[in-house]
Amino acid sequence: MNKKHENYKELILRLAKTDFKLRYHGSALGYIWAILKPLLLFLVLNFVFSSVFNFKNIGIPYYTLELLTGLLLFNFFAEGTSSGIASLLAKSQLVTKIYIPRWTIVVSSTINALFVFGMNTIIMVGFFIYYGKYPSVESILMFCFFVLLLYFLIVSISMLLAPFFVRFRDIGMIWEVLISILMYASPIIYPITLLPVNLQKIALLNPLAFVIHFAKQGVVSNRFTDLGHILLMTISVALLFLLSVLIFNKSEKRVAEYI
Amino acid sequence: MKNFTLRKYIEDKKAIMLSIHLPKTGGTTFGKILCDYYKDSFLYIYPCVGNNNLYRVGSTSDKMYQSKPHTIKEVFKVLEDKEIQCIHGHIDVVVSQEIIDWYKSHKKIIIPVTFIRDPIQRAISEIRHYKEHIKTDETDEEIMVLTSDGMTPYLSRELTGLVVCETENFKEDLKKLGFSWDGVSKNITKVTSDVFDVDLISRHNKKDVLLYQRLLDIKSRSFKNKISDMAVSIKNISKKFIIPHELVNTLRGTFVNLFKKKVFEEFYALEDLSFDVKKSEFFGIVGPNGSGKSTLLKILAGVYTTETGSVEINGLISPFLELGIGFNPELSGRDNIYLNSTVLGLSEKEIDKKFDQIVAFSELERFIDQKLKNYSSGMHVRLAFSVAIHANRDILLMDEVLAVGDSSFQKKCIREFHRYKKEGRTVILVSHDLSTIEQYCDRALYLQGGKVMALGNARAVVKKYRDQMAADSADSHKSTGVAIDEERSHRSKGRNIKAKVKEVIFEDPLLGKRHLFATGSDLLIRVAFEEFLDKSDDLNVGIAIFNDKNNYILGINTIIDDLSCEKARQNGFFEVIYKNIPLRTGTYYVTVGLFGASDRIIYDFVNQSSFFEVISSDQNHGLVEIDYEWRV
Repeated sequence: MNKKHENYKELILRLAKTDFKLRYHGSALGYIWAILKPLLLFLVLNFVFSSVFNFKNIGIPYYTLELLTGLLLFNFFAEGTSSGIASLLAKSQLVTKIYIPRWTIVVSSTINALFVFGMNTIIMVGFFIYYGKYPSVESILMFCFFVLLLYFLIVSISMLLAPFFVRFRDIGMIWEVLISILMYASPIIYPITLLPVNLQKIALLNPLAFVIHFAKQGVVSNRFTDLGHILLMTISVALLFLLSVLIFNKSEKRVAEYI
Repeated sequence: MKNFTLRKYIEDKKAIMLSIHLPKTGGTTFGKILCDYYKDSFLYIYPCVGNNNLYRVGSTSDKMYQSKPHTIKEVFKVLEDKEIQCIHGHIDVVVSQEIIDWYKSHKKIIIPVTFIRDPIQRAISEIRHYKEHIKTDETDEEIMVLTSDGMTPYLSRELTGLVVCETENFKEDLKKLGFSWDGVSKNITKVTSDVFDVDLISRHNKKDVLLYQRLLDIKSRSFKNKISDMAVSIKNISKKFIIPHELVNTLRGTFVNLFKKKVFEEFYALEDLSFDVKKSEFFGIVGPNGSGKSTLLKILAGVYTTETGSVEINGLISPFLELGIGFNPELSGRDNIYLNSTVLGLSEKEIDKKFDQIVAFSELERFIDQKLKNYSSGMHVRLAFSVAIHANRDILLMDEVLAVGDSSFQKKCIREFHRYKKEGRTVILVSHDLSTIEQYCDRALYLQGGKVMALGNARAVVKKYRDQMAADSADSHKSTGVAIDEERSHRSKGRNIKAKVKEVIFEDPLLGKRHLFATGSDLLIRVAFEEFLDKSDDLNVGIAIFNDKNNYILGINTIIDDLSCEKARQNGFFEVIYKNIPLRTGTYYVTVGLFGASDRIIYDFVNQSSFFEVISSDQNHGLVEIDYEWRV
């Protein structure tokens, strides 16, 4: 059966662009919200944790930068996965009325989160400059690699869950709760060193925590974990990605019937 | 090159070859092939754009386009110099008196190609023109008409004494190619069995009809790597749905259900279905609601997968079932064109290129930057259709798209479908509009309950469907006393009703109560009513008949006919007998009104609430049957 659709790339980009356009459509500030939303959250958290709890005093001079980096990465993950998981249902028309490869729908939704993250990094750069902190080239490259890793994680999770979300809407609720748990299970508002050493190791098994912690360490403190760890994490994400593709290919077949 | 009888014709100067074509049917290609083959004895001649007095000429199309503009005298010089045997060009040029005169004096062959607006009329007049001007002694009464589409029937019907180039198995060949033979008149006086073996097109030693098939194929992009003649080939597919008696889409529901006895039904939307759709076919699918039409389209489009059987699709399928997929009301028309075209597989560059065409076709130039939510539904459809057509897929799937849009746009759509067909592409149309299917589709499929009820010639299939529907509804209306359907009637409820229609009954004066009538039989309508009027009040009654497209067929009332309803008021009913009803196959709705002294005083008005059906035995088309007599 010939289901060829020649322009995956353009299709994905067009869908993502449309999503992006529609998302801030009708708001006076428009695209600025893409930046403003995480920024406002950051300012609140920053106020609470720098002034009230005052992490700076316990030996984290660049707490603000660490918080910002962690928060943006987390935001990227949270938005990417929740829109990715809901994508098939949100664009049900494209599933039930027409055949386009379904993975393009999932991927385009996550791309949108990548757009937003890209815009947010501008803010990050601004803050780094403001604080006079210039990360090394290696750490920037490492950061980019981590973002890529995180993106693959987002796509994998979305591909795994999107077809099931169509059948079991509970997954949406469960994922919401999981996201808020992950927010606190990852070293975003607190440095991981605050945890007991054993717990630190366990916490870092969580790929999100891993990425956030080491990305933060890289750009803020110019410290890197050993290559073995990164390799291990990369392989795990790659395996997860492969698994998600396999399962997606199976589960997407009947997805049109369940929507 | 063997047996190219056309050459013989030309060498013997026996016949004038007329090649008449609808736009984009392969006529130009045909001419080009001949001209390119005969290189030096054929000549292209086309008027220069913007100046009809100057012509470009050349022995090949490339040379023609590159040549400098010639005046008509220079054209003749070229013709004489090169012993030109044949001319290929716009008929408007070739037909010009000067060229005809030149032809006469030099006894040469002309192959004109027309670009005609009203193809049939124009073609006929061209042929007449030719017959008058060129039917000279040496043509020997023999004029060969070759058409590259379904025009043969029209031409032969209109023109007696023409020889249509036929082969021995012409009928079969036509059928095989999906051309309709129906309606070809008996005026074809002579059957010739010329074999055109056109090596340069294909090695097949086929008949002229096949030659045309090849010509059409040249235009279709599938020609180069032609895999099969089938656009769609479906074998033994079934589609089963499981209908749970309660829809479970929460996890809890699933867990709870694990322990419950499973309550669901299996439902076959399609059962063991097999059929093929050929390339360049206009294929219709009909059937009542729930017969599996949409499921079938979804399987073709790849939205659903099947458990059993095989689905083979050659070529890119336009992956849409309804118009406007991917359209977003919050975006402007412009953005939506880009979005939808991308979904249909066009690249940004292609869209940029086609954008103006798409807009022009939809006739929405003024509104293109407006948000889609402000569009009317007609505008919506025009835009969507325009995008779909320009997506250039090999197979076009359409689900009830013609139902929306005004008649001029519908015509435009049908024209586009034909263009698709001519380009060797395939249109698969699902519609409840039987006349459209009947009129335009080559073949059709009649589905019921997921099974094939009929497959084949569109007209025959539609007839079978109509018969079946009529039989079904006759069954369900056995009582024939038609209760008043409140939904369709416009009765105002709170009104103080002084008179009320109780029942509308249809009868055949000879056969009694019935629901189904034959064209030409008598129809009696009896309306029972009750009234609470004063004796002094006037009462008038009226009956109107509408067809299922809401066309007003006939309205009568006792005010116009100046009758008194005294007797009816005593009886509590009145009757009307329509003699020899000239209505053709269809469903007809009846409106009954009870009025006072004028039709402004309405006591009761039951709008199209009851209906009867008519079946005609013949194959004619149109709304009414008029007595006619052929003098042919």
